[in-house]
Amino acid sequence: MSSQRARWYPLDHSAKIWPAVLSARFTSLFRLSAVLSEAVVLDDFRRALDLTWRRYPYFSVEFHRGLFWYYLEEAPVPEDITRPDRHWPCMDYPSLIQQRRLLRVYLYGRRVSLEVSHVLTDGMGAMEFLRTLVYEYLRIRFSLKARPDDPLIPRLVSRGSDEGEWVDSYLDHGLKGAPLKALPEKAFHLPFRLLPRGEYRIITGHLSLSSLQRTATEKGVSVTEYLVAVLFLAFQDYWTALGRANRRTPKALTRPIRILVPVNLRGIFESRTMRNFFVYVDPEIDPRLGEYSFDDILKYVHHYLRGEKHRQNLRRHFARHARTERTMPVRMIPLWIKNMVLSFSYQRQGDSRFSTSLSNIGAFRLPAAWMEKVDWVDFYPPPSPVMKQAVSIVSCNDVLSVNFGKMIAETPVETRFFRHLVKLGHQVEIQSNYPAENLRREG
Amino acid sequence: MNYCPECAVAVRGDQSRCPLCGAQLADQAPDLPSDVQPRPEAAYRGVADRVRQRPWIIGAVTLGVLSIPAAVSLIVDLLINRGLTWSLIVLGALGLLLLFISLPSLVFYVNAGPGSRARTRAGRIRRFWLLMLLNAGATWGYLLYLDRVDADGVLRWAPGFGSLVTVLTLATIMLFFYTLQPPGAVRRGPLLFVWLSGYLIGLDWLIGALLAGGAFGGWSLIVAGSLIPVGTVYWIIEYLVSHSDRARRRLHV
Repeated sequence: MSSQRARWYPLDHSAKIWPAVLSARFTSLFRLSAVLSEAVVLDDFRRALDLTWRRYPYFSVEFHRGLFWYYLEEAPVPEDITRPDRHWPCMDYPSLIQQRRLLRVYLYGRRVSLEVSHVLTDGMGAMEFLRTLVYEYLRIRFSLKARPDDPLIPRLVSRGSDEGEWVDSYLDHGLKGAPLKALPEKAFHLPFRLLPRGEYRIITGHLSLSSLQRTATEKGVSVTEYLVAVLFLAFQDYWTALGRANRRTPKALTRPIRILVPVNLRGIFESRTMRNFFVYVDPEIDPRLGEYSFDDILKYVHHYLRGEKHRQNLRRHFARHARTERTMPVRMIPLWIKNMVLSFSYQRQGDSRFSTSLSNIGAFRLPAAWMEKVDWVDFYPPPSPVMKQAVSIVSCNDVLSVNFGKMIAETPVETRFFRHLVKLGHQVEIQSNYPAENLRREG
Repeated sequence: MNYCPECAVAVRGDQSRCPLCGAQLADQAPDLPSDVQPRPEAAYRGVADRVRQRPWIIGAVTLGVLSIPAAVSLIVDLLINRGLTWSLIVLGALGLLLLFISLPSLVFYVNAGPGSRARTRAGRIRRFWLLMLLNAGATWGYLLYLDRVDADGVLRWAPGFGSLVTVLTLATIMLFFYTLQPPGAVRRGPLLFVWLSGYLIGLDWLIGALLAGGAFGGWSLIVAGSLIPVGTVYWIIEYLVSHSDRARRRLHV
């Protein structure tokens, strides 16, 4: 551990919004799970976890409330950081508030799950942690050895951590006086009632990655662009069906469909940070202007995403606020006032502007001998009671896992989404974390 | 290697219980679903759910909080007047407050145990009317006491104004709690106003007969009459809610 490192850390620019809006439904927790080929051996797992904590000491933190800002303070890892996986995922709000830990590990048979708050890091940071954890566990459990120069070896204890891993990269790339992004109008949301507090349903579809890549390449698009287009198509189908079934559709149900697609900034801004470092782009279709064909949507999504993902445009999302928040007058405003402003700002600019989100964190990669012991990886998005459902994607070997995290019982979009994929020639295997009879009853 | 039947992890060594969940370990690994997904049965229970399970908590907390001003007023009264004078009025008011706050939760949140839905509902309705009678009796008794203390043993305002205050308070509470009940109760909202009017007229007659020498006060007719516009507004809201429910069913497309 470096002697220069501070024992406490300010929240990064993107994390600051979360404490102001945290609630039993808005937990900020997302989950990454690796399903191994056989049941986890607890003793080996604890050794691996211990090594992983030593590699990422800045994740072993408690979340505290200060007078002017929230902050993270390094603290020893408690014994119960590893728990049996029995409850609904991403919903342990009481623990988050009472024990102030932002990262927990859950075990169930051969499934190793990492539940992380967005206050701490984003999907890519959590993915690095999981890679190291699984790498260390499988190395200890099966005495595996890799070539030292293998590029797929994750960040290991022996290499140590450096300051570049816990800096707020938003701040490094902030610009005073950068222009703000225009606020789009509110988006279409699914009109169903929320499930009781604490319930978070997951529907997962497993597809063949190579089959999807082949189709996407034929169309000249990436896998993310392809899946965003299918999601748009599913939403449009439901939007249109609503209009047909109801003589007079309420105005709120005729808004445009907008999907939030997070973009990892680490590659674009050459950052090694393990804190949050992403912004989003927001492709939109407006079925009020007429129905779109799949090829129309695909073409639009492809060009829109490519056009938006350039350094200057992405900087527009954070540059001005990241700078402003460090000015002395803003810093001196008491936290409760900041919370009120942030909460109001989130209500105005947050999830109400998006119909859903689709987050693809790419491939879970380890050296070949390790990958044989990992069956697949799942990634559950953080719950949003406004969008009511979100989609996240991760791949491992040839398995692409598409996960719908839902706060409603109904399944109008995911049913259409997977049906479209099947129509387009992909085989989909569906799983869910609630009893099958509910699935059948609710459609 | 031993296995935990609950978390399904393997544990080395001669431990008999799972270090994660404390379950008794077994020799064989449990059968898990092929997707290795735990299927949670119960949702996280928030504060409101916990109170629903233990409705006496509200009464206990209220008692704890109210006992502080009660004790302070008793001590001050005893120290200054060397006896119980005005503190009885404060104690009476606090007692009423305790009844109003703690009893409704016992009526609506008490766990009825196994039994048919109809029986549970009947029990709830019985408890509801019992609560209303108890609350009405306590409020009215307190107002009578106040009137007697105020006018040295003669009743002046309690039979008229006091009964109006009592009944209106109870009507408000009843409306509030009745409309919070599960679906079905709301549908019978308009009926509630007919019941309420009858209840008020009956009370007026009873009070008049028992305390004011058999005269019918007549105030209940004015209150019951004023319930008609309130009932109409209620009926409109109820219609709109059920209409939006019907519309909601058309969302499953």
